Amino acid sequence: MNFCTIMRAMKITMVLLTCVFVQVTAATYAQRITLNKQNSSIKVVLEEIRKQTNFSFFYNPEIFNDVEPVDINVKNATLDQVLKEFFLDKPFKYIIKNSYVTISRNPEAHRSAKPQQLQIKGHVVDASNNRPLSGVSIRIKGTRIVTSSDANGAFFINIPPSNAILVFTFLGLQTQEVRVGPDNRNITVRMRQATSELEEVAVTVQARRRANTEVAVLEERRKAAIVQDAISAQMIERTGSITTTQALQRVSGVTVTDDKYVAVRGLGDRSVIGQLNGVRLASSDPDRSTIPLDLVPASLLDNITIYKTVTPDKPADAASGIVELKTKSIPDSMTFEVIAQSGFNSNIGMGGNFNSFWNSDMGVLGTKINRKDLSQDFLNLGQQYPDGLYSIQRLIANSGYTPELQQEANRINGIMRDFDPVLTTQGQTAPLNQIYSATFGNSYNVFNKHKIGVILGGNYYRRATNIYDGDLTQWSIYQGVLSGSPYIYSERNVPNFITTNRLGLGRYQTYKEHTGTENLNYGLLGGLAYRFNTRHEISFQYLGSWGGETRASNLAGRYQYTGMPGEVNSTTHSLRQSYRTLQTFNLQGEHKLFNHSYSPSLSYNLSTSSSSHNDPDYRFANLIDYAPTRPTLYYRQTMSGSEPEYVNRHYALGSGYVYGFGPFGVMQADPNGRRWRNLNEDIYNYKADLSVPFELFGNKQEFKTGFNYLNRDRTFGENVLFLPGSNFLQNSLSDQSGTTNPTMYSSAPLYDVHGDLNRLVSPEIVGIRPRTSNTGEGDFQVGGFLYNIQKSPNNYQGFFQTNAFYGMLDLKITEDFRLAGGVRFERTNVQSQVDTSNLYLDPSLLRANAQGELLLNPIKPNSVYKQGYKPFYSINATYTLNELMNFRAAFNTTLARPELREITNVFEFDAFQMGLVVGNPNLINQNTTNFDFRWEWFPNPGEVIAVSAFGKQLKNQLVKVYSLRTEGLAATFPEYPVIAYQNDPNTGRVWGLELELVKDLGTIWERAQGFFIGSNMLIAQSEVKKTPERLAANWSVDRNAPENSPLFEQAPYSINAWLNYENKKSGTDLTTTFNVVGERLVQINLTGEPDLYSRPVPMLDFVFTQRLSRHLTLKGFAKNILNPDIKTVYANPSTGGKWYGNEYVNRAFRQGSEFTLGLSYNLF
Amino acid sequence: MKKMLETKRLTAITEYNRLRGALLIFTFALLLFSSCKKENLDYKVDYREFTEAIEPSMVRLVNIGRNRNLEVNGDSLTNFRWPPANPEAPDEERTQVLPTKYFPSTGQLGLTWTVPNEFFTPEHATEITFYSGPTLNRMHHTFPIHEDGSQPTDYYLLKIEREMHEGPEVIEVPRDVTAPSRPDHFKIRLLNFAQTFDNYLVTAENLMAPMTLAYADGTPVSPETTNVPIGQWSEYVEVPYGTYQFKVLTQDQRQVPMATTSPTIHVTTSAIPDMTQRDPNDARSPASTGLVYAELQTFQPGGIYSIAVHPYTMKYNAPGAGNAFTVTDIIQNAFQVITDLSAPLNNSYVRVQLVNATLNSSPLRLELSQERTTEAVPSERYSDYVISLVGSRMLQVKDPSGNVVIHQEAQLQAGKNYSLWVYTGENQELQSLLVSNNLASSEMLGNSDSNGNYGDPFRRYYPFPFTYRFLNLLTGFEEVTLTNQLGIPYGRPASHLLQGVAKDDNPYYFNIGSDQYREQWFMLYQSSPTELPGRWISEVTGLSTKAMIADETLYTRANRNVPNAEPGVYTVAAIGTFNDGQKNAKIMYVKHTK
Repeated sequence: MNFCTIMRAMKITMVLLTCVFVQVTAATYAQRITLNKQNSSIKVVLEEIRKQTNFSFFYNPEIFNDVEPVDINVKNATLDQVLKEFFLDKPFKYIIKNSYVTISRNPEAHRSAKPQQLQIKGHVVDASNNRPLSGVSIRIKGTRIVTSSDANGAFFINIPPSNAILVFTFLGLQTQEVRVGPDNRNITVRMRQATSELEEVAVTVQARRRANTEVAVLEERRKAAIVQDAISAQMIERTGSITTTQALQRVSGVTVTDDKYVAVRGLGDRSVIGQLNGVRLASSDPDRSTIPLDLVPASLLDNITIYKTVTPDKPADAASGIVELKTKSIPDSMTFEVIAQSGFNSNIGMGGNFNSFWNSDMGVLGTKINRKDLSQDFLNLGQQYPDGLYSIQRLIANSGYTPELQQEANRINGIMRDFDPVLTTQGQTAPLNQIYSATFGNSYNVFNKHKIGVILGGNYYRRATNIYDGDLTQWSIYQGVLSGSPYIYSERNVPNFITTNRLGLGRYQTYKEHTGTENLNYGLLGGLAYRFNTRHEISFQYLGSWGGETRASNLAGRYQYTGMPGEVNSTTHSLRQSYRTLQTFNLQGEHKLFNHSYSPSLSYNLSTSSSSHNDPDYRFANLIDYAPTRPTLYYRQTMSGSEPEYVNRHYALGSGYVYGFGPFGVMQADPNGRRWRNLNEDIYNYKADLSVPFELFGNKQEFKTGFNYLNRDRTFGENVLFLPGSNFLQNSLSDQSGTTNPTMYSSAPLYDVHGDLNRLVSPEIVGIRPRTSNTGEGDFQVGGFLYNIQKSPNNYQGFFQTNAFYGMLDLKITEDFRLAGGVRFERTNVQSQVDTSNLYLDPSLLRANAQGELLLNPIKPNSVYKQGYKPFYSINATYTLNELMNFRAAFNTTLARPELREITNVFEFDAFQMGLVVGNPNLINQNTTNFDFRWEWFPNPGEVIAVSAFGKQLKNQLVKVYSLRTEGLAATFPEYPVIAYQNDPNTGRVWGLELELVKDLGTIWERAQGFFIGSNMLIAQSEVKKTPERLAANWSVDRNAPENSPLFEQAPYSINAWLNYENKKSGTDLTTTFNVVGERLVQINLTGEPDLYSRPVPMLDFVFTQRLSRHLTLKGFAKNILNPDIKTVYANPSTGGKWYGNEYVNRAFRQGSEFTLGLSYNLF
Repeated sequence: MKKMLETKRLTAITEYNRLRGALLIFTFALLLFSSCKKENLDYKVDYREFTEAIEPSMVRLVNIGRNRNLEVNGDSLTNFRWPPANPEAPDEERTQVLPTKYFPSTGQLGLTWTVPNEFFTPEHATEITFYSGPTLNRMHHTFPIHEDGSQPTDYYLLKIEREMHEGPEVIEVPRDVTAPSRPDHFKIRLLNFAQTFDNYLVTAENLMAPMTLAYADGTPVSPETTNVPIGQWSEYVEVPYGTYQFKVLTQDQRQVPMATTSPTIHVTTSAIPDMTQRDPNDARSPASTGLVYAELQTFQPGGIYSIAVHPYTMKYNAPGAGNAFTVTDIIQNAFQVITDLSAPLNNSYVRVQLVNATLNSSPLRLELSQERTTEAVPSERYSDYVISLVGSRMLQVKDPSGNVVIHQEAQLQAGKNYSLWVYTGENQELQSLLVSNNLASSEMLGNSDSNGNYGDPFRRYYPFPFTYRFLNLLTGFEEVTLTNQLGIPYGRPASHLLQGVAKDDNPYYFNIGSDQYREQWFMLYQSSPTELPGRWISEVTGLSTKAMIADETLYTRANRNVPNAEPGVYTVAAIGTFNDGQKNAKIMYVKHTK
């Protein structure tokens, strides 16, 4: 692999070289000249041409002496074209030979020269305000000759001497055709708003509103009444984004964690809401309130817009932003495109290995994942045997006495052994990454003048990534070993080298990480728009998306400084597969009621969507083993009591307690197990808006009103099956179940299988014990290990309902000053009900208390939170300076609602967060007050320079609170925190700055024609006061630990930059993007160690497309070219990732670079 | 001119194409460099303690003297661990021993040990030294062994403690490993290695005599295994497989106790190896029960077993102060069962018997096939077992004239034991009930509060069982209950017995504790679902466990007390008819173990 190592080092160089070569290639081939010289001498012009073409000119300088200065304006012309035009009406002739151009006087010129072409000069203005329009495209109809208007709206174009028709196009304005000729050489064109025409009372429904280029989205942004940012399909393609979250990362103010969780301006979770074509997206994550953005394939989108301030016609529960996904619009003419790409991750290579597990095949469509669902037979067992497993054990024991019982016992045995007998991950050959997509669209005329538009899209991708030899280190101020087993234990202690005067951390556990992930995702888009006439149009859209993920993680490591005579190893295997679906249907209509420009118009959007998240058989096992230097005793339960036996190695599945929760103040927490979780959510979202225009201050104004109804119905089901060997399972008659001590003999199966986790769940341990040659005559069968058949206490169902109505005015006070604002009333009704029947309950929850009462948790299974209609105000002011520059200010109040999961009275040990996630029925809405300012300037189409400032004040902020009641040095078991949401009594504040620049470099430096540069940056600051518990934990060692903390996962800055080169002629498009996000708080530690922060990771991507023929395009990308270490460190905020000068790395790994190459076929 | 321009353009295009080629090559090179296949090997561990297989020889050591340590060719293979390395260790740890390669579970010599092949070399004889105790200064004995390639050999290591009188330390015995000629049989032999010894506290009864292998009722198994002289062993004899309580008798019919590790049951009186109970008249003194300890065991088809008599240290109840006994050690000759060849898993055979639970009918016999048929069984009696092949079998019960009076198809499962009960039904018609018996006398403990993730902890075996199952084959009552002489039902297994239905939820009653040595009666009560035990049916004579003793002369011939009950697995059934017209009912029993 030395070869590979060297090559990896060379890789960056290679990519850069490739960029350069592509650039050079394009230039050499084109030999194109772009010149814009006014009042110049011929010599200067020729010199410029020489520089651009490398052709040398031979002439006698005297021949130009009496010639007047010339004007020339050509773009992308060949040498021949330039010279022909240049010398058209001049008395010179030229000869091109090899690389030389010889120019001489043409004596007959004056006689024969007749003007071959006509120059048309003109001026384009906006009809509404007579302001010059720049960037208007002017084309001679029927030719490819194009020019555009300059900043003053002026343009020049040469036409054939006869008449010609010029076509003026500009986004959002009505296309105009003007006939020009010798008698019409100086024109002024007034362009009108496309929809403001009296005779064209046209409406355009969402499905037809095409905004898939950067120019278009910037134009929408320029005209909007609010602060918004967006990324277009063009940019999505240029950044090689496959999922929507990858694309979102490029938008200013957006940060993304784990490729899943989106935060806008530093606020994530419920502060961001997702909409697809204007309707709410369902959260399908059982643990966190997130929008399933990674499920929506980016290739099916026209654009993603983030509304950072809102008007009352938008939901008020987006405290920091609305992410609006707009699916592909219906084109005016037929389009058909097919893309196929393939590639690999450099951590795997071609045909290399990635971590996976036996029977992890998801199938082409991911549906094989669902085959691991708990069988109905298993689920029925809980009903059939409500007294629990002992009744099954008894049935097995009795099964020898009658054939019917025998049959039933065999059936149950089959069910118990039906699960995959695998708990460990295993390397497998990775498939090549694949991406396919296809889109088709067209419009047809039907029934005379009716129009029907169709769009169909499909997308499929599958990719594998792998982390190998990653480092994971748990640093701690403590040492010792707590495994949950009395055999693997050494007292917790703080070593004497850690004091408040000498701060440091010791290595507690060190691991090597091997994690493989395979994703597949596919989506289908269907859109249909029907236009009765220009005033009435309805459309229907369907988006279905399905995704499967397999994630296999193996951590192999050991405890350091155990104080025990021998090595203590810790091995973790996590095997997870998820299958998710999202389907939305929506019907929208836009109707202009009357045929005049002040006609009220009605728009509505009716949608239902459903999403599901299924995690079947998610397996997690953390095996701790201890090999003392000499064999020690293990007590095993036998017929005649407990008997000690000597073992060379002790085993335990690490588990412990959560203190401070439950009726007894303590709960067992066992991360090991097989889990099934299934969440289904159905959403009904209906809304309608009526806008009534009227005239005031001499301008057209608008009053808008409407309502919005949203209802989400959710059901969540879970089964947690404990593993054989779990500390908390009774494995002896004398085991004291229900005490705070784990049962003494429960780990016996681990010893039986010598710590082999796969054997642990094999028929050797699970199911009915086989008869042996020692089985007595007629002896009954006995069950070995049986999985618990009752569902976990976390099943719930609930709904989340909001109603809203609003009224708003959109006023143009003057031509330049616009005010949009009003009030919106929203109502909240969140209710959930926990299923309390037939559950598997932790024995520690079943014990009677000192008064002899049997307490059950949840004590209150129903949660209800209702809030009546409350007003939310918003006002957006826009002052427009010369049409290209906006000054915006906005004020609005918003709310954030507790999520269904957070309010539901359930508790669940989450093996990912390693904590008990607890519902809080007392949560109330959070209120946010937002202030926004933005200055934006659109110098040219596709260009923007913007500066924004924002501030947010959050009352009753919903915050995730970690609390850990620790026994400190007296602890004998691992302790896990309680994670709950609470309303923070302190007012939280977030403020920040956004900078954005998108510039066509060609406008400032001619040689940089075709180069675009873009950059955006977010600087945000947020603070929340630490809870007393958190602060106390920090101060236990570090007396200088800050009292405030940044918000969870909130980055102080994020920077995006991209450089794009586009050469339309050669069909080359190259984009290099760079992204870096500042440190983020990712884990709160409550045992004295500083919190965990993820370090900034510079990501450099390169994406290229090269047209090969009219229909065929080669495209590809290289992502994460730098492939830096991705690190999480123990630190205080803003210390450069250090803690008192030392770096304590918790996790470090490399993601690998990703390479993809493919073809796109475009029929039209 | 034009042509030249054209050429020029072509050159430019060619140049571009070449560069594009270069671009592609670079791109592909880049891909190639990154595309090196990564192995990404798994982090793997194997924590098994011994992964190499030890190749066995044909020589075996049979440690009936319960010696502890072993050297082979001067190499100590056991741990010789005493005292422990850590003097502060708890008691268990100090008496425990460390595992070794050849003795991975305890580190000490067990009952049998097959000498690995690696210890045999052609040049030198292999030398074995065994030690009676944990340290080198204890009694030990050294002897050479040799491997005869054709004949499996056992070396019986005898007890060499100081208390032992003069005698051999090791006896070389050939072992048979050829399967029984009849595959549904097992082979068994008797070795008489009785010896004399000193006891310090008491004088034990002298059991130095030729020995006889007998069934539970005292019937000798075979002439071959009868009166085996001291120091000798019998030939192997073939016995049908099944569950037996073998006994070893001296020439004068005294029973020899069985050596066992079970700490709770195996207690003898001082002079004779009886089991004791508290003397009903004097709580401080032990009193003989008349019973001698011998376990029940299933001897599997195809197995080969040796029963060896040799001195063994066991517990003995001496009178103590107050109400307590004092338990001390005593040495006595006792027998042990040694497996010479483990039986294969029995997937082929099943045993079936016929119970004639009628009153006053002609004898019946059960026929499974021409060859497999029971003897004719008169009323209230039961047949010996017949061995059948597993599978679907037609069970035919025939009367003396050969008429089929009952036929029943049954799915017979391997390793099981069935009794076909034939009884008189409502209309005086013969009816049958096939009952599956559990001769292993195992009980499922626990209750509904138990967390049932694991089943094993709830199974308990009673190797010296007094186990009863109850059946109601009596017509006339809806249900009956069987009680003891005080009218207390024998638990759920004896309560609310429905006619013709065998209970299937933990159906056995296990008589444990001091009750098992007392005489128990089985009394018939008419119960109802709301009434327990209900009305005593005085017309039906109770059945006493004393009446169930197979042969009292087994005890009287040796001048011993006749016990109140004999261990075994029994079924007690109420049979006959009981109504206004006919009051002909009885309680009968079947002893399933032999």
